[in-house]
Amino acid sequence: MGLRPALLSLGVVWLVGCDFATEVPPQIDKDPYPSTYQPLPRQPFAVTNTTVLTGTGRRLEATDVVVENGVITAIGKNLPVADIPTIDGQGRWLTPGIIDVHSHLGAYPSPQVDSHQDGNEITGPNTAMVWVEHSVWPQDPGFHRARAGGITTLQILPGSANLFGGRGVTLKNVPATTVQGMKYPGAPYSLKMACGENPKRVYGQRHQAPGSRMGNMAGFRQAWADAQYYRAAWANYETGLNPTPPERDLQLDTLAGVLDGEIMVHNHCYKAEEMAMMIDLGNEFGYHPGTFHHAVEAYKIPQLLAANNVCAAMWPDWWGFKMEAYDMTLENVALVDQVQNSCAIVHSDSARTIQRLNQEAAKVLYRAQSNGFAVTEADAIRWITANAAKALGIADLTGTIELNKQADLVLWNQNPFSVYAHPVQVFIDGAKVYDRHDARYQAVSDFKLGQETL
Amino acid sequence: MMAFRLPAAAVVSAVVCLTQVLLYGSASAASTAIINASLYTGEPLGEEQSGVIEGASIRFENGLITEVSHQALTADRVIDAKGRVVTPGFIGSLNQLGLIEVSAVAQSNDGQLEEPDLNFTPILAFNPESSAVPLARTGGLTHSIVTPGQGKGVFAGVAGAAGLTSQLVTPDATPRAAVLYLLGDKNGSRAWQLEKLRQALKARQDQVTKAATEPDADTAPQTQKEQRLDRLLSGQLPLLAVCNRPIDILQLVALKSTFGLALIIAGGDGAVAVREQLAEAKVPVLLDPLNSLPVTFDSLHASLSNAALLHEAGVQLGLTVLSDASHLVYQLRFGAGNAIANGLPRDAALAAITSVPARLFGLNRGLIAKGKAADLVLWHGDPFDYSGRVHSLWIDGKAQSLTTRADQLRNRYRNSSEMPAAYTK
Repeated sequence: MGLRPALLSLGVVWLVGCDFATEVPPQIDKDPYPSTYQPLPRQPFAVTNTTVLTGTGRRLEATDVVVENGVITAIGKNLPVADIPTIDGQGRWLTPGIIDVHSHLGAYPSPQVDSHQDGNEITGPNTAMVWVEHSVWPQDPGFHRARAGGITTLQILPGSANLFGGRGVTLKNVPATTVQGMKYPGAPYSLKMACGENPKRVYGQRHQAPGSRMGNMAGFRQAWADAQYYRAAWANYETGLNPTPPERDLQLDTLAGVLDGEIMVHNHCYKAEEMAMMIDLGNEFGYHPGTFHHAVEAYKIPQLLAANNVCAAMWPDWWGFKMEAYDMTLENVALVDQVQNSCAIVHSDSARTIQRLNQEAAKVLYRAQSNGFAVTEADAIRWITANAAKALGIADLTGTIELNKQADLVLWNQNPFSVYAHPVQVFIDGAKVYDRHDARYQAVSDFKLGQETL
Repeated sequence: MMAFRLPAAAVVSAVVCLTQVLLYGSASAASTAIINASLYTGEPLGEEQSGVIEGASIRFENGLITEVSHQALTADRVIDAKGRVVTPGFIGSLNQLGLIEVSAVAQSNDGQLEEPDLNFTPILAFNPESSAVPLARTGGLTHSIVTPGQGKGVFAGVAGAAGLTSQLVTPDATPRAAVLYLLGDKNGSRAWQLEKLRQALKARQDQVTKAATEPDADTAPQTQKEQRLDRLLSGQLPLLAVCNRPIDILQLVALKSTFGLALIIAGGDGAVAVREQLAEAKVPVLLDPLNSLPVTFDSLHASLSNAALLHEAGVQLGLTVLSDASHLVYQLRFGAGNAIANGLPRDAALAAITSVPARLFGLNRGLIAKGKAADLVLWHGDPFDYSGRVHSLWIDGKAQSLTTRADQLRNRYRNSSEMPAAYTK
């Protein structure tokens, strides 16, 4: 990482007891917990004669896909694959690895005991200073169940009790003993924000702000105004206008990172009028509003979302657990998707449905088809691959089956949108991480060891 | 095993005559036949024979199935299924459908009490107008076993059966099971919970025994609670125990044997570890087949294979939707589909959401057979898969609407108009 030498010298200066603020310009290490991820052992291979959903909107029949050095190196019919191992894909379907943009695995793990409830710092409405990666327990058995369901990449987010819940982290779904071992190299950080009922309920009950939706907005606006000031103070220092560096503030570091375009916003926001408000809020303070999560009412404003290049991450059918989830329609995702330049995503927010994100998308796909929407399997796969990769800022790396993309792949026993579909094999960076028919590729959490009889 | 008899011609003609007579009475008495159906009866027809009859017909009138035949039946109204699947209406259980409109709106939530007892009968608060009810029908559900949520008492209350018609009629309040939660508790011990249950049963048993030995004693139950305890002790009222840990399940099996209870294990993540004992003791299990995580230390055995393994061991199996079943019980068929994908035979999966819950909770439903209630679903495609959907649905022989509030919201926002969406109705 580029900032390491600077930090090292700072450390030395500290040791010799100098006043480093005047001797060495302080620098903020933006990657202090760097990824140590390494691909699992791998070899070149080809999946032959299979049905491919590319994630770019195409469906290819009887196609071969070649993987070398962890990336996709050839896609076509009757490719020369004699010198590498092949997997017969006939009757099977190959898709990009499934990506869930909204998970709490590791932070709210199984078993759901009090000692492990680390997913939300519910001690103040603005906890932008916390990073959820510091709460992730890599031994959550849910990671393994999700991998058996084809999840290769997932974003772990802090909870939604706060206006600013803290930083999220994007992980490769590989078994690891440290969270650094799962961190997706090159993925940007994210900031979790939350509209609506949760922040105003949690803090309003404590007789503190916010206690209403207008209180929510006031809280957002003041925080962004403070962040603008903080950012300007650093700029003034860095350009020499002010010789004294600003006092370091971890909360404002994160918000300033959003204003700098380095951190992507992920905003828990159900209702149409609130999403419109959050788009304006982004414009007011000069940042991109990012992706709306749990966007139950996205179907009421699909044009507005597309015009602002905003993604909407949705459940197919969750509803009724609170008022802001009352106006559910089962075609929400399809209604958002049919608009040009849209970015419709199916997410889980669940250790259960993350195991079947393909089926979550299937609920929408066939329901929409039967009601006359022109939507196909080739479209629906984008909701859980390419569009999700875009929302996480990793679309150049993964999310589609295209040349030179990372070979994050799922081979299914049949059409992945059937209730009877299973991942047969799952690959991350060209390495096999799961095989339904080979126990050597079925990882088990430390927690389950010795406790599992089946 | 329910006997399944193909019709004698005489029965058919008798039914036709009856229909003609009834026609003059009221329109609702008219007979309906569904012909040319792929009939999934709700349970296997024999050891070697699946419960599917191709090219079959059903006739129903006055709310009951009057005939099932290999031949095309006649009736006042004939519906050609064109080879499509017809199943019994699905029966959800262990849910709070109609008791909760919005979970976080406390005033719309009637599913549980803090300190309940056997008197608590939440079905009395069942709201047929809940917007969750039509959505449940789109999942092929015609009935639901509405169950009290967890409270602090020994018993959480009694379960009841609701027809999902949306009609403003008071529900049948018959208790279908006494409900007990035996799960880990932060402030208590399951040992104490088991002891309190045993004592409650023993006290009533002793009371009745003692009264019977005394001349002039009145052994009749004085209160509703006593009445319900007596029915529990006679095995007429099932004990529905929500319980996951294998050893706790065995404790309940022992109580069943001591007191002659009709025990049903619900939740049942650990049932798979004691499946041989459950089969032996004839204890049925209600399971959410999608439970696959050790969500507590009681559920270390949770796995997608459990439904198939319980069935293989000979345990009578019903399937439920555990996750927010007040609003998402429509997903019941998808859980059944996943159970099939993980090894449960199709017949057993269908029975687990039709004939099994009907039998366990004493409903004359859940089977396509003569004399059963005409709760029927005609399907487009595979009832268990996402590409399948309900074509038509009847409850007690009456066709039901399949339009939901969610559909109306979709229609309102689907097509743009010069006027605000609020004018689109």
